[in-house]
Amino acid sequence: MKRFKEPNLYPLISKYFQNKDFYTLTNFRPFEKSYSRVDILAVDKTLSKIISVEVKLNNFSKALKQAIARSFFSDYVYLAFPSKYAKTVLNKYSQILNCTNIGILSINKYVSELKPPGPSPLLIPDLKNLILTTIKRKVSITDKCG
Amino acid sequence: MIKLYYRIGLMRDKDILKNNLDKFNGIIIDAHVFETFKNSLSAFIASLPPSHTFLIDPVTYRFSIPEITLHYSKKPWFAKLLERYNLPISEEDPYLNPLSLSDSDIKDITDGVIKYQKKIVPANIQNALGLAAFFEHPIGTPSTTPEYIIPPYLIIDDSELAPYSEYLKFNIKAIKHANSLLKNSPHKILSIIPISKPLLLDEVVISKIIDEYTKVKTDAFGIWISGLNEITEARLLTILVAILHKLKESTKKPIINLYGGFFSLILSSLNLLDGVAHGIGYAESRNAYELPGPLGPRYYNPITHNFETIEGILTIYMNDPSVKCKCPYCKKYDLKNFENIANNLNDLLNHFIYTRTAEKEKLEKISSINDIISLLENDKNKIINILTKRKTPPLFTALLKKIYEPKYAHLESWILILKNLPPATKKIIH
Repeated sequence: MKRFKEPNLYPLISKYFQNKDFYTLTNFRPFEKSYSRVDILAVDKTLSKIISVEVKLNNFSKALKQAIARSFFSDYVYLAFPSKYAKTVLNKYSQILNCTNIGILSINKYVSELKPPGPSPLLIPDLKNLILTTIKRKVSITDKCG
Repeated sequence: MIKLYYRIGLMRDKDILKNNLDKFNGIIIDAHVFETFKNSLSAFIASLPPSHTFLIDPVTYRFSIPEITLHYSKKPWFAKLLERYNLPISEEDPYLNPLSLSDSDIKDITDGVIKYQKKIVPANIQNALGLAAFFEHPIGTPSTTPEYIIPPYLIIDDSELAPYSEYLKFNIKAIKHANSLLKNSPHKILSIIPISKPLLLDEVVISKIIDEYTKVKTDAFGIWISGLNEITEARLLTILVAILHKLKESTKKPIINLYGGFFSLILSSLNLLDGVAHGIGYAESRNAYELPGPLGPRYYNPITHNFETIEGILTIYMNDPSVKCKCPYCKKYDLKNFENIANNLNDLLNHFIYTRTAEKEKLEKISSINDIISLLENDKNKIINILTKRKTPPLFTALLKKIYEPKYAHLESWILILKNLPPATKKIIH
C-alpha cells in the first residue's frame, strides 16, 4: 500500500463505505464555486444521510478544523488517519472527539472504525438540503457513467 | 467627508461604477492599465460627472523590482511607458536602481512622468469627449486633468540593490523636481509615501522617512505600506496610525490610503486619513513584490468587514437567517439559492459597493470614538454568537471560538488600537 499521500488512502475509505451500501464522492466541492473540498463524502442510497470524511496522515488540529467545517452540513463526520496515528489521536484527544461527536477511522490494509461518530451538533438542516441537491446531481451522473 | 476612490484594474469595473456614480468620489487608474485600455478608459473618464475626480498612478516602482520588471517587460505597455517616462532602462541595465541614477536621470524621469499625467492622458480624454458624445455618454463638464499629479516613486526598502535611503532620496528628489516643473501651474501634487512592510518595525528608519516627507512641498500625500493587510496584520496598524498622526500633525495636508479597507475608513472618520482607495472587491492591500493574480468569487461580509468564501457566508447566513444582507443585490437571492450569487459577478460586486457605501455613511454619522468601538464590539459578538449558536458542550463552544478566531481576530485588534489611540487622535471631525 502506498502510504505517504492522502489521496492514496481514498480508495480504501470509499470501498469501506460502498460495502456499507453508500454512494461515495471523492474531492467533493459542496458548492460549484467552493474553494474547499471534502476528501470523501458518503451518502446513503435514499440520499438523505451525509457522512463527511477528512483524511490526514497527521496534523490533528488541521484535520479537526476541517471536520468542524463539514459538521455544519453533515449528519456524521469522521477523521481518518493511518492506524498508528489514529490510535494516538484517540488516546490524546478523546475529550475533544467526544464533545464534537467526530468519529475516527483507522487505515492500514483495511479500514476500521475506532470510534463511531455521533450526530453532528452543528448541523444546519437547510444547508445540508442545499448540498444534497449537488450530491444528487453528482450521484446521478456517477450512476449514469457507471 | 470621507473620500472614496475606486481603483480600476479590470474593464468590468468601469461598467459597475457607471451605475454607482453616487457611491464614490474618484477613481485611480494605474498607468499601465490606462495604456492598455486607453480609449475605453478615456471615454469612461469623459463620462464622469464634474464632481468626480481621477488620478493616474504612474506605477514607476514596477520598473525597479527586478523580478517584477522582468515579468512585465514583454507587455506592450512596458515599452510605451518606458519611452514616455524617459526611463534609462536597457538590456545592460534592465531595471531602475536608485544607486546608479544621476540627478539628471531623476529629472528626466520626473519630466516624463509629469508630462504623461499633465498632457498625454488629458489629450486622450479630450479626444474621448467627442467620442463620448458620439456614443451617447451622459457628459457634464468633466475635468480632463487629474485631481493630483503624482511624481515618480519607488518602494522604500532595504533591497538587494540599494539601501532604503537611496529609494527615499529618489522619491524626495522627484517630488522637488515636480514642484519646480509645476510651479506656476494650477496642478496639485500628491506625493506618494511607499514603504515596504518590513521597514515598519524599524522605528528610527520610519521616523527618518516621515521627517523627509514632512519637509517637502506637496498638496497631499498618498500612503502605501506595501504588503500590509488590515485584516491579517492588524498589529502593524498601530505603526501606520503613528505615521499618519505624525504626518497629519506636521503638515495638515490631506492623506489618501492608496490600498485600504474598512479600518482605513475608520481612520478617515478620525481625520487621520482623508480618503481611501481600493478596487471593487480587491486591492484593499498590495504587495509591490507580488504579481497580482486572478481572484475567485468572494463575498464581502458586512459583519466582519472582510471577504468570505461562498460556503463561509452560507454557513453564517443559514445559522442565523436574520443577519442576511438586506441590500438590493442580496435580496434577489433567498437562502436556498444564495450560492448562485457567486455565479453573478455583477451582483457580488454591486453588493460590495453598496455595503462599502453603507459602512462609510455609518461612520460619517458617528460622533465619538466610543461609538466606533461599540460598533466593532457588536460586530465581533454578533459573528461569535452566530458561529457558536448551536447548543454544544462548553469545551466544543470554546473550540469553535478558537477555530473561527481568524474571522473576528482583526476586529479585536482594531478595537485595541482604537482604545489605545493618543487622546489628540480621538477627535472625530467630519
